[in-house]
Amino acid sequence: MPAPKYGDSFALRILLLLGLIALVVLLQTGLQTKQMLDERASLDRIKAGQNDAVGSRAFQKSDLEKVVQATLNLARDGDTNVLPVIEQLKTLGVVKEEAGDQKERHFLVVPDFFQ
Amino acid sequence: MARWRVGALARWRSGVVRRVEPEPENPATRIASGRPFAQTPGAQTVCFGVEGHGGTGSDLANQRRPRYGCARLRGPTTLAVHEKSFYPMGEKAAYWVSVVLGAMVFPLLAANVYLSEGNRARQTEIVQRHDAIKRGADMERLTYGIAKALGEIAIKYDDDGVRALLRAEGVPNWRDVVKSDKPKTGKTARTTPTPSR
Repeated sequence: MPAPKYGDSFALRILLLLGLIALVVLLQTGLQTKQMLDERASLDRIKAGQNDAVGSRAFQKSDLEKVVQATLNLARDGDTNVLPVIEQLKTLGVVKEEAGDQKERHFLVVPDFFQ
Repeated sequence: MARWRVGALARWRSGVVRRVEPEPENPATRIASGRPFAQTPGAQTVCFGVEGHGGTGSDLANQRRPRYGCARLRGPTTLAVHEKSFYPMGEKAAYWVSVVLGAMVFPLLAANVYLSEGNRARQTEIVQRHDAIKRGADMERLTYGIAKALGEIAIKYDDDGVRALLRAEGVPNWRDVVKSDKPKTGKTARTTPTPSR
């Protein structure tokens, strides 16, 4: 290793090197932070765009629950015409049949279906 | 390396160029400025300067005067200089720059971790909402299918109960529902039950 020149400082060299490394790390981290902020803004935009659809989903769920419940009430009141519809709903997993009497069939809404 | 220059006195005289050595800087001024006398050990002319060392006696002022001396060096010479640094301010500045830059990295790293976690949570939520929206569309289709089936039953069996159900559930146009093939989508075009809210 050549002898340091007059006026050279080993400490200064090391400090400059460390400063350079710190600068590079800082720039890289800053870049990452900016990317993450951009990604966050983009995700927030997507989320805001979903708000309307999520709101209408609540109505759709409510509509279905009411129609299914009303159909089950009709069947419970003795209307046998709606039984094919209920059978279809049973196949789809919307309602389940309560175990009990063979003459009187009772159906219940499957709550998990509406989650 | 001796530094020569062609000065104002240099003239073409009888075909000979006279090289004039520059006037040396006052060493006392140079010592006061803190600049080194020689930048490289290979310099042929090296000057040394020392601060006044104090002293006693009648020649006190003279002893406190900065001393200097110059020497012309020939051939390779090693010059030992016992000086802490010629760039004390440079070292300090580099130190503080390193410290400040290093210190700025940590909050940024913490912010990165925080943002990363937040973004991941947002992504998960968006996926869940997307699934819910998709499921909502399925529910709408199912509701429409039930309304259509009930409408067909109402027509086929002339079932007053089913007709009342459809009216109660907000499907006054159930005859149209039975005729149509698919549900109208959109918030304003709801043919499927629109219960009063």
